[in-house]
Amino acid sequence: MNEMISGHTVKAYNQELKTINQLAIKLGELGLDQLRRAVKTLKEEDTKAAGQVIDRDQKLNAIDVQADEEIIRLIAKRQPVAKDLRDILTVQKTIADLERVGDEARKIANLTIHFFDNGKTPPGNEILRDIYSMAEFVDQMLVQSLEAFSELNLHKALEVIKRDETLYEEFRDALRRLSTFIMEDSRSVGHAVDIVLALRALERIGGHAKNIGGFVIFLVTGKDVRHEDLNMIAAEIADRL
Amino acid sequence: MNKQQQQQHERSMSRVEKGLARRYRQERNFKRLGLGAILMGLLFVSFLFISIFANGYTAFQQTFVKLDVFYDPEVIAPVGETDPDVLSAGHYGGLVKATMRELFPSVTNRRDKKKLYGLISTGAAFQIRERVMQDPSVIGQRESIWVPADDDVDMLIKGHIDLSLPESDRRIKDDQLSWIQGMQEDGRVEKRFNTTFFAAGDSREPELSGIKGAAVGSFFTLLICLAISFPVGVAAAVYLEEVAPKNRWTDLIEVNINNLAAVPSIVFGLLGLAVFINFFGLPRSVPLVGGLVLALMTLPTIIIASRVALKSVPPSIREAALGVGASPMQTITHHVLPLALPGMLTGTIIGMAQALGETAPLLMIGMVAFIVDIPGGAMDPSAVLPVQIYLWADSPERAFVERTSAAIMVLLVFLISMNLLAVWLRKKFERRW
Amino acid sequence: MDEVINRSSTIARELKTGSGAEVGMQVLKESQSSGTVGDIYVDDPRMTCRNVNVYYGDKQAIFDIDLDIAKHQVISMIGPSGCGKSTFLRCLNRMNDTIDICKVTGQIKMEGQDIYDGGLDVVPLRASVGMVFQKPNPFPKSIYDNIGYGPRIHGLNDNKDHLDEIVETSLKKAGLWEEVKDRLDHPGTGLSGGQQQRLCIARAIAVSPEVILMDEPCSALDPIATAKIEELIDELRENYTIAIVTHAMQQAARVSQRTAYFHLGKLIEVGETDQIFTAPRHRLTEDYITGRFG
Repeated sequence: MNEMISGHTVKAYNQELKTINQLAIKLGELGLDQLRRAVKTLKEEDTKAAGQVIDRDQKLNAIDVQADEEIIRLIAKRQPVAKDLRDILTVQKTIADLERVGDEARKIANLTIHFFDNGKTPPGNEILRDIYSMAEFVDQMLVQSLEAFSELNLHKALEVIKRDETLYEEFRDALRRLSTFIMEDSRSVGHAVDIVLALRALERIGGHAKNIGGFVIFLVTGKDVRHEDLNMIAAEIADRL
Repeated sequence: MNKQQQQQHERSMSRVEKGLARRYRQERNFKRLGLGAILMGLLFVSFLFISIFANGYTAFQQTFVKLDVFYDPEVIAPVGETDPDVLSAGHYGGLVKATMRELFPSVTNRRDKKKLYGLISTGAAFQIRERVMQDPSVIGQRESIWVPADDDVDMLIKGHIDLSLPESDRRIKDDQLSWIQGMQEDGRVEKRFNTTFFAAGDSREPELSGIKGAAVGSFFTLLICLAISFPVGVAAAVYLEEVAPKNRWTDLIEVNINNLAAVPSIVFGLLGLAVFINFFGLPRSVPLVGGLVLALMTLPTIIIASRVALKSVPPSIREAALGVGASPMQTITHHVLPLALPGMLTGTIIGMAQALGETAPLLMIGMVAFIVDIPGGAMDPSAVLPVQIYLWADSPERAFVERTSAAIMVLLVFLISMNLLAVWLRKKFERRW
Repeated sequence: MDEVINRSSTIARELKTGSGAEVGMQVLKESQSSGTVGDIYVDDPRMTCRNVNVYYGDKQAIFDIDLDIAKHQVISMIGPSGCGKSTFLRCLNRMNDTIDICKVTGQIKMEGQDIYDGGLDVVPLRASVGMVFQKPNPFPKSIYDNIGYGPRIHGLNDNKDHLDEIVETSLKKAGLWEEVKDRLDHPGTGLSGGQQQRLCIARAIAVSPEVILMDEPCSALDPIATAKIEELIDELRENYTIAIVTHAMQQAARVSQRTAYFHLGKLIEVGETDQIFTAPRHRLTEDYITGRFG
């Protein structure tokens, strides 16, 4: 069994910790799926599928609520300390971040409907290309952060945090390219704001992935690294890698 | 619960129920057995008490005879004589005899006269002397006084003499019987409370014998015993329990103390004889030596009881005292001893009760001697209660039988009251912690 | 769904995280020769223990313990039964002296003075290092006499009025004055368990100690009484140095500033209580406080 949550004299405690960890992983799977589906609806201009994505967000919210209930019960019953306490806090925060990932995915699905279901001219593929490339990047980050979480892998957690800086550069670049587009083709101005929102949503998902990476480091090392710069994080966890 | 479990449960329940009747029966039998044992014990105790009481209660009464004594100045001393020496030298026995002759003038035969005189206790003469010594003015006058009857008369009056036996087998002969009847008709014979029994020492004459000498002797003996064994016993217990290191030597001492408690008491008597009397040259038959010997005997009891009492003081109290900085000595004197004292006192009183009833060691140091005087101190020869009982039980006179039982009753009263005192002390000073 | 994030990842987590956790639990560094993790030293120590070993006959109960006890701090000692925490605590006021076969080696200094030095008397030591025991053990005397006993035997009071004052302030400090001021002549054993324990604390305070040792002071008390004692401990910290042995880890977390974890006679880890209970550095500490022991 999982070293992190197993071994309690009270066996039910193990099970309870396992339950909330599994909820987090399940939520992660769902969030990632939502992201992919939302981006796909945009690519395929499939407004029906976009509606499904929006509906499915309820499922994520339900898991979020369920996990919170489990966690409150667990804290009240077991008074966790040390790694159990860190585990529970990490799961709780991870779940909160993953739920937001779902929200961001829903925003993207909303854009699909907005672009392709109002009878207006849909945006050209050119102008949407940055969204796809950034979605690809964010997808990788999210996968990596979920792997880091499920494997308690400090390498991957650190990688995610590093990638977040790249993501920000990407975001700035995309914005710059968007302004160029607008200057070249003033017809696209109408879509520009929506596209910025989509880029922004993707950038936020990357941010959530980065947060999860930070939580994993906290869980394993007991150090809160969220607001430290990359070099310091790397130095602090160096002796554990 | 699945089916298999259900079956298992039913199977075991049916077995339990099957055995239930047997279990309860065993429990009932066990209870009955215990109750039977208690009843048996009570039966024996009551049997003992009843037999002693039945034998002994009559000893608290004594037959007295009224005599009209003429304090004859020719026999005693001239009227007006007050010199005690002269007064005490009077022939008072003659007075009693003269009075009896007066009472039954028909008796002339020398042998019959002797039988007649035998009706009155030899103590009557001493009683008359006392009277005269107290008040010499009675000389020359006539006075009715009550004097103790002889023990045989006493036995007759109390119904202990079987009149159906042939005259030769009786202590009271037929003519004596008729004289007594004559006196009874005159109202000259009466049973009164036997103050002599509580006020006199031992005597060859049952009607003159009492337990006071033995009781006082027992008191002095126990006093010596207590004065030695309590402080020594408590000190030894405190040392062994609180101060002494636990090693082979203290183990050895402990084993020996426990063994001493089981040593036959007569061995202590032999020891006392060898050490106190033969070696130190103390006199025989005195309460001092008796007390010393009994102290030796009760010491193990007191030490063991005191150690138990000390052990039962919870260690938390010691820790509390040491924790605020009390020295070991302060811890013992301020906290442990006061808490252990009731237990120690109880043990001591039990030991004293044991000593009070002890005979064998005292026989060895000569406290079995016949002593008439009431002892005035620990160095006067004296008897003790159990030895007195032993002596009386050995005497042939019928009247000593009831006195033996009466003395046992007195001893039992002392023992029971000492035990009650122990219980009361424990209840009073026992503290909850 | 993606092949990475699917059901199997749950299993992957279970299988793989073992190594990750082990990495996490590795001892960072061994700061002392005795093998204790964490900082045994403090800036302002009231007592310093170096190389303390305790033997019961041939059996060694405590191994090479180095530990500083800081002024005006509560240090809690935790660990499984038989780990030596109580034995160590009892070394600090030489309570172990009462056990014949107990032998203590090493150095325990209080304000620079070695308490096991032949020249130091145990009586003044116990007056300056008070002790409160597991089971409330008031003397079977009145409340007044319970408090007054210590000052009396040490001759701390000038007269009766002064003793009254000592009794009152001690009871006030122990938070018991209001409850018992009208019945000071009642037996101390008649109080409730929690009150008795506060009485014992007041008794320890009455001889104005510098250090108060508490050996599982709440183990016989209900949660309300426990809370009162814990509150009291927190208040007392201002004036006294307190070392507390406890089985209730949450209690250690609540009342102490530093925590020391003992295991099989060794001091495994010592550190700020916050750190011990959120991110202990030694595997054994972690296992013990999270309930994974045995």
